[in-house]
Amino acid sequence: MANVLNQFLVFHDAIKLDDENEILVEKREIILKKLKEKISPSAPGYSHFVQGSYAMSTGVKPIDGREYDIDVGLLFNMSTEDHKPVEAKKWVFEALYGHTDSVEMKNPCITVTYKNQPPFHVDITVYAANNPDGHVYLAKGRPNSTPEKKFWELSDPQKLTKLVKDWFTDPDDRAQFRRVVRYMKRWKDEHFPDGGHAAPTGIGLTVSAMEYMEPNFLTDKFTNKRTYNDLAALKNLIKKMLGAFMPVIGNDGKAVERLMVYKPTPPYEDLFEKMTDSQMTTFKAKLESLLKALEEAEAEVDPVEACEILKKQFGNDFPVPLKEDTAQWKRAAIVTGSASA
Amino acid sequence: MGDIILEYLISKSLLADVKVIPPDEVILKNNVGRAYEGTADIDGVKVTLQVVLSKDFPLRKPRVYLKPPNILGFIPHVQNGGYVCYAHDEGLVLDLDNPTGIIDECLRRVIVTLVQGKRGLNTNDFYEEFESYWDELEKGPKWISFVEITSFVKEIVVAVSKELEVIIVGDEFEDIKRGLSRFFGNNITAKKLSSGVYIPLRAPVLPPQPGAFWNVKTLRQQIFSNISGSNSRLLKAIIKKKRIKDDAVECILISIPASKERRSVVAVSFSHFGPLSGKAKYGTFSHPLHQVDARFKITPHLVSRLDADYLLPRAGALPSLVDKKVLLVGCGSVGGFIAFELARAGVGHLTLVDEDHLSPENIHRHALGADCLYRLVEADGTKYQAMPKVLGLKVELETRYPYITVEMFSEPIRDLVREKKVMVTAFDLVVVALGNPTVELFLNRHFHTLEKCPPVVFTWNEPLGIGGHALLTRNNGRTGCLECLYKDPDEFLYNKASFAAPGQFFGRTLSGCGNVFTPYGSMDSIQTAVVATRLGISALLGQEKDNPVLSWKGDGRLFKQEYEVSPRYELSSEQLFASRYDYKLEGCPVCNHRSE
Repeated sequence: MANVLNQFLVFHDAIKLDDENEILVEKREIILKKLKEKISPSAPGYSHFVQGSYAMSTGVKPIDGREYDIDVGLLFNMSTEDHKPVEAKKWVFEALYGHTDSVEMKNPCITVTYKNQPPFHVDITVYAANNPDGHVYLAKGRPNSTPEKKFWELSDPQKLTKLVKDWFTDPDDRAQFRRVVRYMKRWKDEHFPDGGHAAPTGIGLTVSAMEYMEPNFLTDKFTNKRTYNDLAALKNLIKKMLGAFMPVIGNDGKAVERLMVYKPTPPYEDLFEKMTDSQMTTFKAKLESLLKALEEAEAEVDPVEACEILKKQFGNDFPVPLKEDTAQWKRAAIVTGSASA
Repeated sequence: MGDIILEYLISKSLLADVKVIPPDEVILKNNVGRAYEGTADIDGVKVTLQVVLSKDFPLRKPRVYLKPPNILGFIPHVQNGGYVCYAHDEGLVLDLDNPTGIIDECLRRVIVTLVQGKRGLNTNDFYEEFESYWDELEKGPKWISFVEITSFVKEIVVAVSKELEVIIVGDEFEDIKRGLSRFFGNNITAKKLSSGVYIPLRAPVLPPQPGAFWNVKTLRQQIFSNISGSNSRLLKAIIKKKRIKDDAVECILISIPASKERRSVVAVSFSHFGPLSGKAKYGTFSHPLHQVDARFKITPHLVSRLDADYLLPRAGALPSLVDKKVLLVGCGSVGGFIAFELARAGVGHLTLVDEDHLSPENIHRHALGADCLYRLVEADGTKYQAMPKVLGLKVELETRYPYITVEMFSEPIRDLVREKKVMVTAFDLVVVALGNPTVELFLNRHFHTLEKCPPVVFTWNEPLGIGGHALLTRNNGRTGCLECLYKDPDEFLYNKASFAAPGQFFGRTLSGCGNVFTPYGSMDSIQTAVVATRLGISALLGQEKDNPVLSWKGDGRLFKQEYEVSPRYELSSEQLFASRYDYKLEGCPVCNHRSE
């Protein structure tokens, strides 16, 4: 069995993106500044927080041709009784409208898109944060939505962020969890189209990993040092996810296998619920080929061959070592030690 | 206040007719607090027992005397004056809160001892205690013996030292002179007196009764009935040719089995020879063991053994370390202590390699002290030089342990190896304590190129008291070597046994005492030295069958203030021990380890 942990780590370094990324911070600040200047004086005061995968330390860089995606939450100092949800969203929409080529009000958020390089969009969500019940509610709906789609939805975005960010108490286990989530998300980007609901959501994959991933490592009895095995951790996760697909009766009355993963915070919805039955079937088939590839790579003796197999699943950022590199790594010839006599 | 002890003794039925007696009726009168007397029935014989409590009772156990001493005949554990030796003080704990319980227990033991003696059940104890019975005889001065205790009869040299006023016996006069200078310094002289004879007896012998030493007839009987045929012939040949002058002292040294492992050694002298009545006044006489043709005085003597076999520690039933040759490379803080521990364990031959001098700032963490810093080069005291560590160690070791031989090289080991001045194959064990991983890795490779190589221990300390390690290699044909520790795929050149996390610099701390206060420096080295020496001896004795890494783990508080520990430090001592063979590197380029 080839040891490809180093290649996984190089791959992870290549795809990882988090809240400390300068581009993201800079773009977010521009929007927030614009909002502050332009927002209607009748709007109550607000504070902002960062949410989404970058805040959860599970963000990945977009693949070529796709947009960076920034998530900002606005906590307005008001109750759900004070204002209608669409009214609140309009304060933000109107303040930013015309700022870029495209500002859209979507059902859960306002999306501001920049077409320049690198392309990115900012999803801004609006919350009523000062309610008698102490909860936070998300503004949902668009101006021309039907009335039942315009409502305040119970939510706890900061708790979700914290849950994901703090998943696994051991720091090394947690790091492996984040790596595995990022591998899954990059795999998703490589294998599913952008837009629509064909692709499983990032948060869906993240919560799947919370549900089904176990840290995988060997501890050397002599040195007590852990050697993590990301390939095995990922493989076992996919196996468990595939095992969790359940037959349900679809809209056409036929049995269909679906994976259901529920958000651990309100409103506790199934994070894959928007995928159609046929999209779900495709998702399952692609997971199956991923599992097969991981098993083949694991059985492969030659690390070069193993990495070629993995590259097909994870794309060009997954490195394939040169033959000679695998034989001998370059080492420091002088190091300091702790021995004396 | 009533005498509670008297009441107690009366209430218990161990003794009858119990009464208090005045101190002056006690047989041995020193340190008498209270004394009691009563009678007991010992296997049908009514005896009187004196129970004597010292003034500091119950800090001391009670003394018990049998009255009259010989009422039960000559039995073990009843000494002169009837003192009954019912328990050794060593290992005895008395319950200070229960004085009557102590008296009760001691009387029970006395009675058991006496009953066993009367019934002849503990005769073996006579053999074990042979020398103490010899000590009870009316005897002459104690002798010193350098004689090697052999299984055959031999002639020995008898000498006298004017300064010590003592008779000394040895195999050769040279042995006596060398031995005296080893133990008493060079100012002690000896004069050769005569030759004596050493006689090893085959079976244990009952000691002579107090005050009744053997006469020559009994002595001859004891000897000739208890030696092999060949020893009998040897002895007869020696004594037959002897002619003894009237003012001569004729000496015999006798060794007698005391137990499986031990022999008693005692001596007898014949002196003041004179003609039997009615014979010529002057002339020479036969050896009394050959035939009695003179009057003479026969005197027993105790012997102080200073021969090598007696003084060197024995490993019980295991092969002795006396013949083992150990090469110690590196005589710094750890190596210095190892040298002494090897010597104390009984290793007979040490070869020390170290190119350094002891420096003044190091004396508080080295086995040597200030007296080994400088040596006088010119006799008038005008010129002093720094003393090489190996020289200081050699002098100290040979002074303290007279039967050890120490060779030394004050040159770097790599030169000695290259120039073949030190041939590793000539040793039974090599211990390397250089504290220099580069040279140690070089030596490890060198040792693994040799067709034959003794077991090698590499040992080193870690900083600030977090621990120390010893690795065995080339033992019993097994794999595992120092290189295995240095080939971690992630941390190249990092010793994976370390308790310090990789990538830290300890130069200041390691170079030691000058700049940094390291309160445990010497104790760390001693502990590492103990681990390394135990491992080495275990290999020498063939007990350790594989090549372990043994580590001791210390308190990390001081270390953690400034540095990081490795995950290995978090293992418990039990886990460290359990994983002692788990360091071996698959396909190690040096030891070529292959797991099954």
